[in-house]
Amino acid sequence: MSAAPQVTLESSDGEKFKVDKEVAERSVLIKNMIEDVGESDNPIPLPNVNASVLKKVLEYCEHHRGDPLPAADADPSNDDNRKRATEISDWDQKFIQVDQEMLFEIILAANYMDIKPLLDVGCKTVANMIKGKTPEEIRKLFNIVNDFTPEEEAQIKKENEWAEDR
Amino acid sequence: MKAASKTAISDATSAIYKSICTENGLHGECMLDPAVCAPASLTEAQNAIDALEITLATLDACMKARIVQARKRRNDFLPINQLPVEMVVEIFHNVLDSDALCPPTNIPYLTRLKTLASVCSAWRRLVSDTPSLWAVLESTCPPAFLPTVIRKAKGSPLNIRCGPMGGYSGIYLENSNTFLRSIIPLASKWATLYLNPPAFNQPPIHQVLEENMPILRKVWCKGDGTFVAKPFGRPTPRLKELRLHNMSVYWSFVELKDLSALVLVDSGTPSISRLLAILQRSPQLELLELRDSKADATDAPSATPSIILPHLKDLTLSNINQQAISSILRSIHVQRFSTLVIAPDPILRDPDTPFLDLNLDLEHLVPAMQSAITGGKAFDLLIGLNSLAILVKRDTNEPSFKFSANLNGPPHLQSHFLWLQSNIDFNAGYASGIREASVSFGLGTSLESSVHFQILEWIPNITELTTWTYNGASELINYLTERICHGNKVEWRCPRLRRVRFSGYPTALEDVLEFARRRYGDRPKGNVSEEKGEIIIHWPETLEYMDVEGVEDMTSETVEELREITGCAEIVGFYGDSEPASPEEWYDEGYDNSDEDSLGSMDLHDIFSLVGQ
Repeated sequence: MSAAPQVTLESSDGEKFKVDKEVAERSVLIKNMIEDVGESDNPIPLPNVNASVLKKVLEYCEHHRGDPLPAADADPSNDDNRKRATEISDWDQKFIQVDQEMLFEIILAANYMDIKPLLDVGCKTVANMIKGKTPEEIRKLFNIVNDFTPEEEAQIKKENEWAEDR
Repeated sequence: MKAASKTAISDATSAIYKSICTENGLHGECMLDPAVCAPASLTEAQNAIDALEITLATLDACMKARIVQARKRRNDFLPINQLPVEMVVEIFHNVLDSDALCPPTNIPYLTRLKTLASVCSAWRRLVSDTPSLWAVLESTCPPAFLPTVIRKAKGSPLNIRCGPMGGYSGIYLENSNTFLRSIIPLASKWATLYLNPPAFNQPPIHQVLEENMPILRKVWCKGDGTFVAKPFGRPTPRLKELRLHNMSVYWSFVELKDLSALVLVDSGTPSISRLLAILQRSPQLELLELRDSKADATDAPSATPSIILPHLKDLTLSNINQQAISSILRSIHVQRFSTLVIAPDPILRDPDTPFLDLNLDLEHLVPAMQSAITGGKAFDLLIGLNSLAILVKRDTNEPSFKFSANLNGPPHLQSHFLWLQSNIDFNAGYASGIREASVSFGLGTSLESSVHFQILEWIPNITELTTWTYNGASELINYLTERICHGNKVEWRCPRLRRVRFSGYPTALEDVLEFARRRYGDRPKGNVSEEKGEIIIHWPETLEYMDVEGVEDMTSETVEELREITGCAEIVGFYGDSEPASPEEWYDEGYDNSDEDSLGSMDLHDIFSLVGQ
């Protein structure tokens, strides 16, 4: 039996990762690059993704290697192509249990590498972190400081009074 | 603080102070003005104080504005604010469940939107400037706010939610009518529609369903059972999800080429002929659910149409008549099921037997079911009704899933399910493909028929097998000990079996010994493969665990013999030679209480007296 074809990916910090082509092609960016350039032994550079993030992204791609790919011609403006339900599979939940810095790095990498299911998992995870929290709790969660002007503060207070009156 | 830092801060403060003074036309040196330092008169002194206070107020306001600016810049550096705007919007949509087909929630949508807008100025700006985030209109929204919300949503497709929050009330009724009248002119922009009105037969509701809704994608609608709606009289080409509860529908439409989910609960379903026509024109269908409905099957076509539904994964036909079920099942072709529920209308009974008259046409769906099981993708498979059920449960998000079956129907029903086993528990180890499986044959299983072992053929890598059955253990043992030849390879079934439980009583000792001898007797230690001339023998894996609880006539010698043959380290379920060998013997021995002092019907007072003595 012949071995599965492989490709080499190179992270922004120069680390090389040899992976099955099938795994790498979970990324639409890489898939298109391979199609454009053809089979080559040269590593595919990923200048926006460092090694630690790329390692995580490839772990995700490896686990989901057999999953059906999202339709290539899916209209991104069509909401039906996005699954907004906030359920995340057990494995994905465990996978995405990383510190916030890494979480956002993964989201950025998924966006750059065009891996929609991973992007969805990342966005849903952040959404789940926000759900049910007050503005102050959200600020604390993301280390955001209150940067409203006194006028904006007054406006927010007015809106709150409206909400409380209801 | 180090002197250098102090100097740097001092310099920066001076720079800011000077720049603020310059920006505001103030003279930073005013504190050194002779009028301030040594006023010549009371008026001069007062003027100096006033000037200083004005300067101070201006400086204070400027500094506060600078602080706000600095905080904004600081927030810009945070990881979450480094994400592209469209991604943050996507996160917000997820937080708000903005396109969910659901009733108004206890916390109104606008309140949740306001929460996001109150976190920081960047989020506030984003919320304010993103029309799609405003495109949810709930009947709980105060009428005065609706125009603002509609204006903010601009041309975005609208998600309409009309239903009670915390029960119906007069206020709700009034609000919902006002709400519906406000939104009807916007029907051309409706993307999703949730309608659960308190009294269905109100004019605005009629009007809602009969509007022209060209971009409508999802509908959830509940009626009072009497109203015949005539929705979608005009084309709704983008309709993907249609869920109707307790309402009749005038099924004139067939333009549903994008439909992916059709759910009709307690509703007048279209006649079978029309339903099949709808299915035929809905090649994208992923979910079909008909429950508690009276489908008119009198017009079922005699020639079965062939409807290929390549995306259908979830099919539920529950409590609808059998002719309708049969027509649907005969017509559709499906690649793989995730959910399959077939539970016919229980009213019909076979007049000649005590059984329900179940006569389904499931045979041609077997490959799809088989594919679902072997592919490890099925998570819910139910065929039958109440106690007559085969259930395959699996959540692909879980590391294991449950497969259980309970089929005790009439013979002709069983003949439809020869491929599937009754009373089976099944657990699989991985979400994608089955790598380690545990199968259990339950108490009522009749294992005599070899076809019952079909299920084992479908499940690769069974590592654990349990039988509780009274009947058929011999057949199962035969199945497991039979050597199979593939070319020059000899192997056994369930080669990865490592744990086995013979828990159904009585299982014959001789059968179990035969199982041990034929499967493990000549097995060399270590190597699993062995070459004998041109023949390659693939021996089963080593047995690690054996439960002999249901094996009759076990003795410590036979346990030892089994251990010696199989090399199995853990043989359990034998409780020693002094124990009665079978429950019957235990009962035969009877219960002898002759050596106890019976207190009989002695009065409690007397008992206490006796104890006192």
